Amino acid sequence: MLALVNPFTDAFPGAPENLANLLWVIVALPLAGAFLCGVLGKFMGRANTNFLACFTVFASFILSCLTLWAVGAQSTQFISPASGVPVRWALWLDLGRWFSAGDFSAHYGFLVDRLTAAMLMVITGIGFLIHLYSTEYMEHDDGYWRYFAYLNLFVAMMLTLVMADNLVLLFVGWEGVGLCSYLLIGFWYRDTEKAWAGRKAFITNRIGDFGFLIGMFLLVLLVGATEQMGRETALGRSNFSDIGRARAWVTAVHDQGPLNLEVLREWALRMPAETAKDRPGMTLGTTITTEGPLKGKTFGQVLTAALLLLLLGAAGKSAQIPLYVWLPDAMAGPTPVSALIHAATMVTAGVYLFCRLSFLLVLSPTAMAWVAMIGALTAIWAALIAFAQDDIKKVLAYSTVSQLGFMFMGVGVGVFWAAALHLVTHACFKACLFLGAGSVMHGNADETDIRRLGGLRKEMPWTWATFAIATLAITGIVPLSGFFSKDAILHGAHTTEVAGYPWVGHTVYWMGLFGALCTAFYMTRLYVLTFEGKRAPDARVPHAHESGFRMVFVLVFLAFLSVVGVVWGIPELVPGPGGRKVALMEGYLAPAMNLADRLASIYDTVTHTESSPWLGFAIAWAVALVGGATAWLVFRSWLPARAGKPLPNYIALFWSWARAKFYVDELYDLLIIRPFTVLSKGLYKIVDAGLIDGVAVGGTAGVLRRVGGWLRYTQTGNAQNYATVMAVGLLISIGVVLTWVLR
Amino acid sequence: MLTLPTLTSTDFLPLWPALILSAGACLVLLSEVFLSSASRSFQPLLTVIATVLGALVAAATVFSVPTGVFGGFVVLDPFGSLVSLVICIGVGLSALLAPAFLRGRQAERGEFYALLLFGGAGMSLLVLSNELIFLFINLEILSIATYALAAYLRRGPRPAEAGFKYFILGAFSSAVLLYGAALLFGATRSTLLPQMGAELARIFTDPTLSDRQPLAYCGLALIGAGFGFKIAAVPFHMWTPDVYEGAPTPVTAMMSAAVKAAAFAAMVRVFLVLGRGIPGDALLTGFSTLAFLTMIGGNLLALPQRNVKRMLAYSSISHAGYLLVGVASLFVKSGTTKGGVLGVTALAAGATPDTAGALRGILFYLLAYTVTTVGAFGVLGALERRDDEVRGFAWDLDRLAGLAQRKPAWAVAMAVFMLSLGGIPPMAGFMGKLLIFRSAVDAGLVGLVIVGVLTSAVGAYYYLRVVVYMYMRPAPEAGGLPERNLSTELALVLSTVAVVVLGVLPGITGTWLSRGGSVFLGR
Repeated sequence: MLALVNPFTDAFPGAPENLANLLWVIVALPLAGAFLCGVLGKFMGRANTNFLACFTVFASFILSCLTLWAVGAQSTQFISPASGVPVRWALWLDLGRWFSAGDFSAHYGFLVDRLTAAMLMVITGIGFLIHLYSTEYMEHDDGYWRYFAYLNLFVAMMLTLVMADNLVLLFVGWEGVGLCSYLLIGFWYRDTEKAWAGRKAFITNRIGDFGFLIGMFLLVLLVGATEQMGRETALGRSNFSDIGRARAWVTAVHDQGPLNLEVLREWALRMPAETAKDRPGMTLGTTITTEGPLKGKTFGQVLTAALLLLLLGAAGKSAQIPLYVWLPDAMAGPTPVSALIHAATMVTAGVYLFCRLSFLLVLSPTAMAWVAMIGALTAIWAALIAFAQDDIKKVLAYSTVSQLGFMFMGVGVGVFWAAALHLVTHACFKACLFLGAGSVMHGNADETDIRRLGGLRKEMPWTWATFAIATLAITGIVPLSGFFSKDAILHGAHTTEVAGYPWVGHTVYWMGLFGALCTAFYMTRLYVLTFEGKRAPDARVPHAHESGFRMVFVLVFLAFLSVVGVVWGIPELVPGPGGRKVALMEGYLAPAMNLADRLASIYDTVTHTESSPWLGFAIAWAVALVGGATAWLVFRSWLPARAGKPLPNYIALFWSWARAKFYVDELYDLLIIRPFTVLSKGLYKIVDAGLIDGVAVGGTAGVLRRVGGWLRYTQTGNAQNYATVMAVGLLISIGVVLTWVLR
Repeated sequence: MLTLPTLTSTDFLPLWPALILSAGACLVLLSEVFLSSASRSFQPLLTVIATVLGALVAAATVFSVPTGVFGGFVVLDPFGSLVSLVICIGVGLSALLAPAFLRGRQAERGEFYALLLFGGAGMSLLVLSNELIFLFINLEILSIATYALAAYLRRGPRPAEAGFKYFILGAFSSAVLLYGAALLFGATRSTLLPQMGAELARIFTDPTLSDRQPLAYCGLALIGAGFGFKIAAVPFHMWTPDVYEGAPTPVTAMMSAAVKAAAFAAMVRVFLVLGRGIPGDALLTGFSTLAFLTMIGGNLLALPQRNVKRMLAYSSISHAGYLLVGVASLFVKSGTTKGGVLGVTALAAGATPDTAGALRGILFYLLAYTVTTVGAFGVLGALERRDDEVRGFAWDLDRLAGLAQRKPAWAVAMAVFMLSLGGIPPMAGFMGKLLIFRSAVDAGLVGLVIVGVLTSAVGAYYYLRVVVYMYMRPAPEAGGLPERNLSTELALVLSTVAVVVLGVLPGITGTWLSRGGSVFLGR
């Protein structure tokens, strides 16, 4: 049943929780915009299309602000369908059943808690700014209507992803953003290389999606097995001792579906970790006894497997090892797209997924260790590759991969709020960097090679200033947002112990510090080569021109956000849970993360040691300064001074390897793609072209056509013949009846 | 002694669609008399209004309780109302196609629309007939209107040939049907279907009456053959391609949609009511043999056709075959298994035939096929040119080559219709086949369903060939374009939307079609 509400009369103004009825509008607006731009954009003209696309996202932004206000209000709550108890600081809108198959069902439902609200601000806020920027960036492109349709569709899909109240709907958004990403990377599809980049992104993501799907199926089976064992075994019944809540949960499993987030939350609560041996009932160590593929495994094993598969999915979408290879190539798309999709929003979906499922993740220390180590490895690996890239967008792409690695580190060591904060601040400064790069390209006849830029500081003052601020922010210099968010992650890693993996926290910390050093180095290199020094002699145009008002405005605004974002990360600012003083973001996200924190502390899967962050912050700051200063010295004085002389051997070797991206693409090509292609070609020639096409299809078709051709001659066009056939048919049937049926 | 029955307003309730259509026809005829200008564009409008009103009235009676009215001659039941609705839709859409077609041939006259409406009224009454004489009269009303319509453009050789062939063979089949009715009357001494059903049951149970059994069987076979002609089942199909090709295209659309729906519904009603007392699987074998032959014959004959209009005629034969699968599943007696292509193979133990489900499937298929085929003939009619008709290549596949470049929207519509006819999701035709085949599998007709699926795969070849020509062949140099015409385009848009919507959201017909399973069987 659709519980839609007229936005103009019923819901507003009023109590904040009434806003739940409007949640669908947030998604519907950009979706409608996508439809209108795509279908009518060509007829509406450029100005109208621009206006419509920006307007829908801006309207969504206004509504997102209202939801942000609503989930901040004391009175906002909804009754959880899975437990019957109220959930505070969150809004929920159930639009009814989407589909059901057997025991499985899924709903159209939107859930906005504080984590989602923060994501909404990023998606619609930065999304709007980038739409605005695009209106100028794409002003000479005839495909503007296609572009804005895709971009609006992307926003709608991303909103679906973060607002979904169940993993199935989340997966719709997950695939939808993947589709939009594909369409926009290959936006200039007449260029073969760009079209291939789109395909590479899509196929790599499909590998991740495969993991995501299997992970979801495992969760479905897991919830189903729990429910069945709870009904059938004595052991299970004691988990369900609170009969009212148990009934509510079972009802919700069948009605809302096993992948509803509230159902999963309640499951996490019901299913104590192995360490809680003194409690009666099933624990994660209990062996599953119900019939099915899971029989004989323990709940904990299945959960870990599901989370690792989801990690594969997240690695695909968020460009982590081993699936990061698509993101650098994705820079083939228009630059605003790189800023919105491949820096600020879509690629953070993996981080969002694990923040959303934090309550499951803390039940499996193994999965956490994997997430943290993957993140740390990616952070360093991508940063090293970024050292030697000469394409301004490629550097930023590897930087994004590396920063996403930092977020995974945060998730893996259980400081979810820090990962979310880094997600938000990174969205601001990386969007600013990308749009700055777009502005540089716009003013330099699409030149992207930083060796052929340089000296833009005077020619493009606004771009320079904003790019510099964003560089400082990502490097981690003190009064800017990137510092506190990144170092909250590092501090978290340093003080966290994941049960069973005591080495993870410290390893991740040191790797993170090294990653921060690398970040400072390559970002400073990028900045120096692009903006400082003299204009390169082989530049495409003798003089760059500054971009127009709309682009500059967006750059300034994003730079401003990169600065003021710092207030969310200053440690020990506000009173938080447990009487501690915490950072603003930690306090803000506490309601969304409280289940994970509770479970982690009850079962001791993640232990945070309290310690003052300030010393660690000073170290991190020093590291960032050292990295930046080294790069400055190298590229401002050492290298120019050595001009003409060859580099020392070890540096040259590293440089050539890093420039070739450590040959990972070639390795994948050799190990996976080639054998696969050879196999497919063989199968195609023998099975498809030979057996199926030649014998089966061709043969059948030939025979049938021959028979049909013969039958044609029965159609003489002679009415007497026709009547004869009818009469004969009739006589035969009567004959059959009289001889056989009656005998 | 004769007593006049007392009639109430309930007695007239099921007749309203037919009354409205007849009134519309009379209005159109009268308007022809008092015509003061040459403009006749109001006539199709009047026709469409009459069919819309008829459809609304038919829809209003969908939720009625099944009863016999008019002394048992007429039934009021949801099945009949729904088929009346489908008939009104088919006639209305065909009428929308007519103005452009007739204007192109300087043949706009009021009797065309009047005949359409009279035919529609006959069809609507046929579906509601519960008595053999009444049924035969209605069958003739609709047949005579259709004979006249088929020969409407009488000056060309093809329409005349088509009309005459149709008339001769139609008369032959009417005679067969009438003879069957006479034999059945001899066996049962009644013409009211419910009474005949009860009497037949007695004949097959009471050993003293067993000498009447041959009479009953022969009567049923002859009636079946008569209906077999109307629905174009193999081997009573031979007239179809010639008549469909020769008749004016809007008339062909009406014949393949509405006439077929009416004849199917009447046949289902007659055999459901009469067949209750027939023991064994005689009816099942009869219908499954017809279905088998029709599916195979229709599809194989359509394969080599390059003439799209003839291809669609054969396609309408093959669709009658799929519908007959659904009809055959109505006559499966629970508990019988025999195996074989024509027999019953229950896949799951305890699977019981679901008559209501099968009827729903048949109704949905009729609706889906009506909107699809009218649309397909509509596109074809708009593309054909007067000069080529005599020589007979007005409907060659080449005429459609490159349509996607010349008229993209038309090509999309035609592609939608072809995909629907081929039974490819997400079109309505797919859902129709799915429903019919599912109820047949539930009833145990697995062999027949396998044949149906295989022949649909064959069908995909000649349907998709049209799409290939439209999208992948270059447009001919001197390709004439159809003139724009509001009512033709309206009909095409309506049927395209209906095909897609019924295919994607078949559930919107849910509560209505779920009523369609209730047929008045008499007390």
